[in-house]
Amino acid sequence: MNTFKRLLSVLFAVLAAVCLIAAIAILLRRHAEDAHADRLLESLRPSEAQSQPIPSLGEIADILASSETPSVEATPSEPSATLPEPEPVPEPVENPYKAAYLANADMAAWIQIPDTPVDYPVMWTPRDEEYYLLRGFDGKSNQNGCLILDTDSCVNPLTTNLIIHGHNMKSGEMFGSLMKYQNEEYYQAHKEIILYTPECQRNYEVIAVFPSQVYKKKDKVFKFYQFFRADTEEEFDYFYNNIKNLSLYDTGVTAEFGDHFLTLSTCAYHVTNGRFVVIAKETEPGDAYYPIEK
Amino acid sequence: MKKKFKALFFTLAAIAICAFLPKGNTLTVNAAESYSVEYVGGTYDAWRYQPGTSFDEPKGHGPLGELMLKLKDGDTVIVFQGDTAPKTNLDLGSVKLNNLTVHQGVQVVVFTGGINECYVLAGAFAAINGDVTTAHIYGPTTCTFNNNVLDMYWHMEDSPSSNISCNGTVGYFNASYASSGSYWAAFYSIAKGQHIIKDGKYNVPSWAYGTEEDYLKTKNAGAAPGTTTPSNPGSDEYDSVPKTGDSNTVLLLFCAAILSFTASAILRRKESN
Repeated sequence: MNTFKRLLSVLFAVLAAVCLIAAIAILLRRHAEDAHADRLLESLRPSEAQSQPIPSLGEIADILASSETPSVEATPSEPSATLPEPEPVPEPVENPYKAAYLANADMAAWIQIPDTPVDYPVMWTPRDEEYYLLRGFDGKSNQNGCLILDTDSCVNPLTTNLIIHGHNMKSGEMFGSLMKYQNEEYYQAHKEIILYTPECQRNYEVIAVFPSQVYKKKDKVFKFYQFFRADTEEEFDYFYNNIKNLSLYDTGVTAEFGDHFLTLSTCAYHVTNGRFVVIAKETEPGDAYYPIEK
Repeated sequence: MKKKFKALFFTLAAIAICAFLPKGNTLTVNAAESYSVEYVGGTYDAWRYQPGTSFDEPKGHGPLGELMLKLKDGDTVIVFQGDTAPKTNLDLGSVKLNNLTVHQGVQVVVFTGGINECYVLAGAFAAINGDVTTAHIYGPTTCTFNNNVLDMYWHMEDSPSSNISCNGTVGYFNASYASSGSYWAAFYSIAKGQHIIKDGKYNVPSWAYGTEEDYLKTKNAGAAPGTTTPSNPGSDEYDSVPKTGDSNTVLLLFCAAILSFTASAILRRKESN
């Protein structure tokens, strides 16, 4: 009996050691993967000099208008002064994420929520939606994966709703910080989202925040992950009424038929197959960019 | 000393497991709660909820999204008549409710993961989604069950005018007059989609009935009727959406290591004593 107990004790000790070694090995591997991914992403982010705030179209128009005012006043008698001012067409600028686009053709956009960890490339692989779910930007295995744009969404031509899926990492990486939007104060401080697409900068403002879930195919309920296009006002109303209905708090942001949306989705644990969703509405357009090839 | 040593190890192991368990695997036991729900118009124009069994608008209410975070299997939801017609369905997620009560005058399409006891009161206009174990319907009413109902009790009005249908199967149907309680009819194992009462008239074809034995078999199997036979292959499949949860492998390995080490230490301690 004593021999059996001794043997069992040794077996348990060995099992404990194996589990501990396996856990440490996985942790070390993940750490190495994360460090590699961090270095890679850091190299793709625009440098400080490049990332200086670039005035938006509206701001450029204001600057141009204010700079032209004195010249108009100086020549009041000129006949051209009575003609309507032509709309200033700002020059396109260089895409700040040109290097990233050139490094990987699967990148559809770069997403940024100022003052949060969300500052990542968004991958789009219609051939296999989940290709980057457990792969880094360079295609190498990575537990964090990449943010992925739903294959039913498209940035060019732009669909009514762009859905981006990301891992809810305990480390806070990827969409690990998204759950903080449950707190209205966090929303107040982080209501702006920026999407840098190959063509232009798209600015969004958070309109609704709510928990949801992945439903069964037979369930005839509002499924946020199935809304990509609103061809009719009825389709828009169905989406809009439901997201406003579900939102944890009133953001005060309204929308109308024709608006575009950005949906961020990550896993949540309030129910089986739970999801936490942040939906933002596109506001005024940002800079237009030169084609990436240029 | 031996007992103290043992208790210390188990306590440490339990603390470690609880501390390391990720949120997704939290071990919690919560008592069943009751929530009241009402469609509030005006600036809200949405379904709103309050804890408790009555809805008092001036007391303040929360959004449906918040309720979905709180709602769990075994809870009770009572739907009250709002001041305006709802623009959206009442989606309560996939939880299995112990009780759903739809009050007088309520217009609602409600989605659940299943209901143990469902009460549809007179004057309601409701569509219920999710398998129901026992349904009580008080006429006159208009009510559609989109899934299976095991036991359905219709408490009829004296001059029946209700519209009641079930798109699933009905295990046992019992109709009696609400005023006198006198029995009117009872049927067993009604086929899928055949249970229709239109303007108070019972329109079920004779071939659509089964036997009491069929009903008892289903009932003893502990399932809502219809769930024992695959009606629509693949209908229980989830939509295809990328899984974006974090892996728990490392934490589970740490827990396993702690437990194994504890077990080994206890055995060694026993042996040395």
